[in-house]
Amino acid sequence: MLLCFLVIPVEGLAAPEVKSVQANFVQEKHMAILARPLLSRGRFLFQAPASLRWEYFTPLHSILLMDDGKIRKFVKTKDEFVEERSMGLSAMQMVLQEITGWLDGNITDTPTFLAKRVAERKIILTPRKPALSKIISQVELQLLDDSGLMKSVTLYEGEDSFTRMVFSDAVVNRKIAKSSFKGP
Amino acid sequence: MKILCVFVLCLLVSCSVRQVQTKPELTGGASGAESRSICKQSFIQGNWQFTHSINFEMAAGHGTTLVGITVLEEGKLKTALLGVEGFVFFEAEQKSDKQIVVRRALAPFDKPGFAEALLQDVQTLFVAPVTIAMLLAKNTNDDRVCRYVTDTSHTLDVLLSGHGWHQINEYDRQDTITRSVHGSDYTEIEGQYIAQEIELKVFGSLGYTLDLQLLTAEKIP
Repeated sequence: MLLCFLVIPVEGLAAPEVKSVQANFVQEKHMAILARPLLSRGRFLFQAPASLRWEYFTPLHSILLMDDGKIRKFVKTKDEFVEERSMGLSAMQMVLQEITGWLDGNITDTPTFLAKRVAERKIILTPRKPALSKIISQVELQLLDDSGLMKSVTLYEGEDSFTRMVFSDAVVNRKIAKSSFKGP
Repeated sequence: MKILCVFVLCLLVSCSVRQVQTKPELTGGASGAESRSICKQSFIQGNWQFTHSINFEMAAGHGTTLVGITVLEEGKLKTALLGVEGFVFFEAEQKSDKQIVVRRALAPFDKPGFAEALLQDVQTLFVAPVTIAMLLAKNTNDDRVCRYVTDTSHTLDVLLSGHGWHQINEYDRQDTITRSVHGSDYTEIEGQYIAQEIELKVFGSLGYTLDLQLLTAEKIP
């Protein structure tokens, strides 16, 4: 779910030097058991080389921070943020490492995913290892336009379950305060 | 001095025994059609989809927050546990014949017995029990109580309020409490009262506490 905010180099165009990216997103969770998708809203901040703030505002306020090689997670409980030592952080670390690799423009050769451009603005990522493919079967990146900005990311967990994030109001290379990555 | 020590020891033992909650006596029980209707109506009616944030704390003190999905649909119970980011850790369904189908279970939710325990918790919260005996009575605090006896000789006491149930206590064959649920901060949604906050406690050495906060509640066709 955190794969998503990249500026993807597009063939024929000079790849912009990405120092920072920030955008809003709406996340839809689709599952066979759901009568209606679950909707979440949030915003992310990314500062090269590897600082990230991934924040959900609704329905549950939570923040994932990556900075100085550390990943921390906070969830708002009864009006205050509580840091969690939950499972899944190792999976997050793996995903975030992929992100930094993509910023170098190396989409096709990550250690974890094989990338294939299936249409002008659509890239499919599939896990290299069978163990991961049982958890994430495929990632679909949809580009906004020739600028390389991302329109959406869809992460498939199986036939009936996927998470789609649609981005908006993206801003590239605007200064972001370092404190944004230090705490809630 | 020796007598004093024995006395203190007896006092401590009796205190520890009293701390184990046991099934209370009830008075004035009725089991007719009207009583059964009152008790059945105290649980949510119809098809619903709920999401809750679940703060999950083990007896050892470790905790995490997940998003829980519960779907009540035509006698079936469907449940899933997701990370806050939407990643599915667990998904299962209990069919109307009580058969459980686990569709996805990642560690640590793949442990034996987890699916059954989770669905039991969900059932306790949302579904009126199917039992061999039921009684509507009052406890010593003058609360109305629907007492159910299950086919496994467990007892479920459902304490009623104007919003349906506000407390559910489950007792084992020895009449010792095994599970308690407390609902609070009720909101009316689509004609039914839904608790905004639920605390579920499972007692024992492998006990745990779940704090549920309602995120969404939708009636589904």
